[in-house]
Amino acid sequence: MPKIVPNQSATPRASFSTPAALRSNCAKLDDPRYFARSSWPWTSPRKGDFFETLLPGLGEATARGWKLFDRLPYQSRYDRKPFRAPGHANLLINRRTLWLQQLLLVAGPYQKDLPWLASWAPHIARYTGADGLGLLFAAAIDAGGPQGDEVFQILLASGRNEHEIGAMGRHVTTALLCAERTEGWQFVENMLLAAQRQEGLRQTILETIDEAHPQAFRRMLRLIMDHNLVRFSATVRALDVWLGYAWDAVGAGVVQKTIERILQCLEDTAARKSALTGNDPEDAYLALWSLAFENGVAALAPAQELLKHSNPEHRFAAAHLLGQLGLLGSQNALLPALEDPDLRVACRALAEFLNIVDTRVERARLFAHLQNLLPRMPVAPEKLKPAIWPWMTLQASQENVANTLARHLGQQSPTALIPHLPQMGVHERIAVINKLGAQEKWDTPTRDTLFALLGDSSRHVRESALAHLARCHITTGEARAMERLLERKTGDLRVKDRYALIDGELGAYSVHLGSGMTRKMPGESLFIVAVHSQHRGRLFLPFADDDPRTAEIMSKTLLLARDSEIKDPAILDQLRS
Amino acid sequence: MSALTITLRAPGKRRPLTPDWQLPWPPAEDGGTQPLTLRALITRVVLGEVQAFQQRQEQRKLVRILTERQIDAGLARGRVDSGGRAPGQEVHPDTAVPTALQAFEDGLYLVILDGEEKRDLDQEVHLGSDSHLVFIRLTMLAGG
Repeated sequence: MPKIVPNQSATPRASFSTPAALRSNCAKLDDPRYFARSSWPWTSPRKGDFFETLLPGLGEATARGWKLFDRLPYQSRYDRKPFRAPGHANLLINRRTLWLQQLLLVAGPYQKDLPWLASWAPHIARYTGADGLGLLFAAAIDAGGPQGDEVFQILLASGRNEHEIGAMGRHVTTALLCAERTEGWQFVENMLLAAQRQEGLRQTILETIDEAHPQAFRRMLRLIMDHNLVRFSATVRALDVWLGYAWDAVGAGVVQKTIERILQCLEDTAARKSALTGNDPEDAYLALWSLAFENGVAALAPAQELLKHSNPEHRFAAAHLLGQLGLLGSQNALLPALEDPDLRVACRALAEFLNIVDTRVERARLFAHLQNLLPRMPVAPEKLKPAIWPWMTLQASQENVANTLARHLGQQSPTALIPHLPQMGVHERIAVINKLGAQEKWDTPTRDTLFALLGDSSRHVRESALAHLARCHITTGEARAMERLLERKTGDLRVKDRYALIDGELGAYSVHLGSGMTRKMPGESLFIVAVHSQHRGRLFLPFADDDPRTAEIMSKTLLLARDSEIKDPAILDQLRS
Repeated sequence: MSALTITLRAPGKRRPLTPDWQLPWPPAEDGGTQPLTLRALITRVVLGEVQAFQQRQEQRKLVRILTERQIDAGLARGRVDSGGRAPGQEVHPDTAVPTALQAFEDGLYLVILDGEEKRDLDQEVHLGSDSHLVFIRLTMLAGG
């Protein structure tokens, strides 16, 4: 039987001292040869086995828990969707490794058996730790046998508050809902129906049911409909979590209908097919969602097909689901969607590329699509018409596209980004400057751009460009042009909400345009007074504003803009403190 | 005869308080060959202001019957003045000009011609047919 043997020269602990090391070791476990045994489950753990090394005494149980992930969702982001990927070990590796880490933290220190852990779980684990233990127990319950039964009974008693040591906790709901025993599901359903004012309990159950056994989920949907549980806000919240909706104050009828449609799609393949090919874009989305709920990878092809629909909202539904899938295939499928004639679909596709983009996505293709999208976007950010749902309002702006372009240069020369610099944000402009400056040889466009950026409205951009130019040889003509640009100080003064914000050499300041109060950021007051009494004659000049307060504000603004020239010791003391 | 427009727009207000003030600028007086310095420009503006002030003083000596529009305008400014008072302070151009130039050197106001700040009194200034000149009042400051 093939053994995974840690590096012989290192202690076992060294193989998984870092998350990366743990992960790479775990990846070997997906080697099918490891699980190729004649008898399943194991009857006795072997010394030297990977899981047994990690958690002595729990090796077999951990291996079973590992296997359980095959019917659980693969995503782990905070906005994860309950899409599964049975058989795709490469997609499940993330959640599996996270789970192992949790277990090591929670159960590792105690080195006790499962019944002990089941009793003491509420006292040693919270939130993700409790979920982690719950999965371990679920696998044990499925394995059956005396230990499985014992764990099951302990959990039931804990849920009823009848256990000596055990108590109700997330580990109870997770374990009972993820296992395959229907009495466990029944138990949790009864708890839900008897929850009364404990909305939190309702929330806990409903917001985790989608990540539990797929059958338990279907049963729960039926329960919600049969008992009219849509009257509870927890149900609406749960739907928001499952689907990624942003419903707030919505009619119970709407919620009921949506749950009906989901259940239909999950239980009737013909109904699902007609929803997918029907006229209602939301129905099409729910059909895709239910497909992905069972198998995210299988949903790729129908979603791609829907992207070619003539109705933009259908295409939006497809783009939305592809974005939610978070797979390499879905990111590739979204590339052409960046050039969709409807800007909402293009923006939804763009949103996906604002996040982490799989390294295997061809950067040259992404770059080309983004370049084509850029001129179609409005210069100033604009909210688009809602797509399908009233809360689905996307924002379109050139800056987003330009920033994404900067991040996905790929193999191309940074000079390709020069034409898009004016649309980018400050951070991205600086990133591009660094890329341009880092080139071996600077061509004319690079030089010209770096010089032009000396006159940028942001001080940080100017400083960055200057830092690179300081290393190169400057001609007299360029020096003169530089002088002129360096004298401009347009970006150091901004007016915002009745405050003038000034960026000086020694710090940043704000002057209130009504009272003249000055502050040094982040918030300390600066005491500067205006001295009005003068012993001189009247000034016969047509001033733009005779108000002495205005004069005071203008004077303070000028003083702080050139703060390196301040000589007044009383002011300098305040600036330096 | 070209004219120099002086903008009297208070910051923050959309429309000017009073219409842009026009200073008649006869180029012949300067002979055409001598370059115009900032000093000369400020002098000319001050002289123009003093003249206008003296005119207003003269007008106030007379009692005027105000039209309804004049009363409304006065209300908008904050004061309805029908005149009939003796002239108050005496003003002399010979003191007004040095005062203004000294105040400029002390930094009590900014002179901005066509968007560019002028700092040197002996600097040459170039006036076009629609140049804009702005005077911004400043104050002395002390830390406390």
